[in-house]
Amino acid sequence: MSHTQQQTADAGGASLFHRLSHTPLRDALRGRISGRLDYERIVRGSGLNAPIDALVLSVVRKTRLRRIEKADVTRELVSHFRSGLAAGTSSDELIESFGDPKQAALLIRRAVKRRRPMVMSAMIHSMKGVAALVLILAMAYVLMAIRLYSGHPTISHNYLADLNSNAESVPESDRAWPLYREALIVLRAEFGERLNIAFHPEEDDWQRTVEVIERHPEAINTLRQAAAMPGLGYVAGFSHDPADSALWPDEEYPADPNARFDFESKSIIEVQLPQLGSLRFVGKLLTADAYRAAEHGDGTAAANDLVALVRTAEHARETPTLISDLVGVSLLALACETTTRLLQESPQLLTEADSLRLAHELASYGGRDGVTVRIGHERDWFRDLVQRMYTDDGNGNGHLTDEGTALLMSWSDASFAVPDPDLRAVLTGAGLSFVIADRKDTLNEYDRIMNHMIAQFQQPMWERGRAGTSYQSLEKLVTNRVWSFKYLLPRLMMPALDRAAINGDLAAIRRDGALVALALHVYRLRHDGHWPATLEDLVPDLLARVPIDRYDGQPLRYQVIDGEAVVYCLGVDCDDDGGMVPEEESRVAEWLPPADRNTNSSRFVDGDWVLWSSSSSQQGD
Amino acid sequence: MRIERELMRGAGPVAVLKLLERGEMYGYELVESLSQQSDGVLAMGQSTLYPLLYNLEAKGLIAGSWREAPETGRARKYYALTGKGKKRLASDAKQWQALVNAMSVIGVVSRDGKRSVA
Repeated sequence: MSHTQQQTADAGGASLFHRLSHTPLRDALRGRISGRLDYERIVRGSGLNAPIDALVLSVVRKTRLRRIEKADVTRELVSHFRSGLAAGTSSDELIESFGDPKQAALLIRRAVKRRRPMVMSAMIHSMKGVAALVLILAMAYVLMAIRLYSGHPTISHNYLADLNSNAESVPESDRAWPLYREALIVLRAEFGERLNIAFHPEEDDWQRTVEVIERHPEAINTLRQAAAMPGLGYVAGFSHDPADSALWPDEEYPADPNARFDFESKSIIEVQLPQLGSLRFVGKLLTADAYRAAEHGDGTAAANDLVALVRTAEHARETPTLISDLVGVSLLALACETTTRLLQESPQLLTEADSLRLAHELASYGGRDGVTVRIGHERDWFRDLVQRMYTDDGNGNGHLTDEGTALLMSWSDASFAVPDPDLRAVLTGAGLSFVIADRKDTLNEYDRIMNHMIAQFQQPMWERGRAGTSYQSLEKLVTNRVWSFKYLLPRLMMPALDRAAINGDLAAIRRDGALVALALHVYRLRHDGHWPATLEDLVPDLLARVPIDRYDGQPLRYQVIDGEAVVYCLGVDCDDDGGMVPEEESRVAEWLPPADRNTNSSRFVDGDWVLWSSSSSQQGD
Repeated sequence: MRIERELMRGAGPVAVLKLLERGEMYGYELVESLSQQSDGVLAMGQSTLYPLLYNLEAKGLIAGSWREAPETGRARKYYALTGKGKKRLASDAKQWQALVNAMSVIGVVSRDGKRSVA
């Protein structure tokens, strides 16, 4: 009987399934159900006596070798005892001479392991390593999951109240919003939902716009009255105010008016700011009315409209948000553009008093802040999100929660190849909580970048970007994979603040241009139609100082060419082209940090940004 | 007389190699031969022999093969000395001889194998 036949015979009699489960893969692949891995069956079928069977089984079990190795050792021991018995040695003597089974198992195990082929050893070690790694990962995942699901966010600070603090502080009698609302209810009905309104007499719907305005002089006057109020007084919430239902009849209003202030269930990122859209509409109406007044030669009415427009822009800033400031500077820019255009198109329109009144209003915009977009407002939005996503240990730290990961995944559009959101949350939530920075670290990183950006924007525009700190910080968040995951929340919540803040600078340039234009206009009224030789001639009577060209830090440029005054700044190419308007005017009023200019030369337009010209052929933008 | 484990650890493998130099043997046969030919001095339990055989096999000094026993027809594993095993045996034998000589010179053992009297 061959060894293989012997092995197969050892396994004889067992069920097919049993034999199959004790057959090496290579035998099974050859179609042979040998069952030769069943060492217990080998012992039972050996014909030896019970004590020897027990000894062999005990030794083999304790070796903890692979099944095929156990079977091999079993056969050898069985053969050994058979030989001993055949030689006339008693069972007891054989057992006694065998030695300590435990020691034997240990030595056999060591020896057989040394006998293993190197490839097999490497494979076994690799498999053990992989198994250990999987086990470690599984345990780590369980620990992370326990951590993730063990804590919940605590909403400890009412950021909505902070957002509304300015509006709430305006006494009821000083609030502009009820007046705006009253006028808008009338005017919105006339212009319809799309609020199509012409700004300027050259536009298509101009006649219709004029007709509507002239049909409702009280409403326009009410808008001016509203603009003159000390504060807007619009208290924002998570839905529209039921008091505004006549203005926005199609909106949904909660049965309980206080429900719109339920800050515990909603983040201020969901706050509704419908007043901003309405104030933009007010700005268009006042602009149109200024041009209408100009057509009638009523400079005082036009100036009143423009003054009201600047105050409306101020009202837009009341709710401290980035978007509010953007609307504010947008309305201010509209007032400046209308001012310079009227000065050019109707040089006799504005009296000295009207001009100075308007100049004073333009110069006062923003109060101490000046003409700027305050990106620091975003901090509250971010902190509110953090308190809804992280636990709070009372010392400023905490870990990401289940609620937080759900929010993150809903924003990031990351399906992680798992379409079902609940399953995705279970599979990835714990991992996310491990990868993403904890509360303190997240806030610190956000503040670090925000502080850099604010510091950057506090520098003069022409020097900005040389240090490149804010850009580098943001770039690292976007391009570094580890950082972009670790600080996923700052990355998602850090909008293009640099671009937003630039809008403040560009509006300030327009405002400076309008102030110089008004000063030149008044100078000319005082000097029989003559222009000053330089802008210094306007100081200090009409200007406190000559505004700075924010593209290079020098005074704004001024020239009188063929009897026409031109006020300009260098524009995006930072190059003095003598007040030449570029062919591609829309791009001259851009700005690039100096560090980016070499790599974005294709974006340059050759020419200057003409802020005001007394000649219609020169006026830019 | 039983040999201390540490001494046996050095002597056992060379003794097994020497036995196999004469021809292939199976486990029980080796145990018996070691015991009989050394008057029991080199007798080792099977718990020691089989790990020793597996170690020698792992080092390539001996090779095992299963074959039918002529008297019973049952399979047995026979061990034979390999070429590498022969070289090792020659080398080890020289070392043992040198060791015995040295022990003799310093009087630990006598030339005739009797223990020296201090």
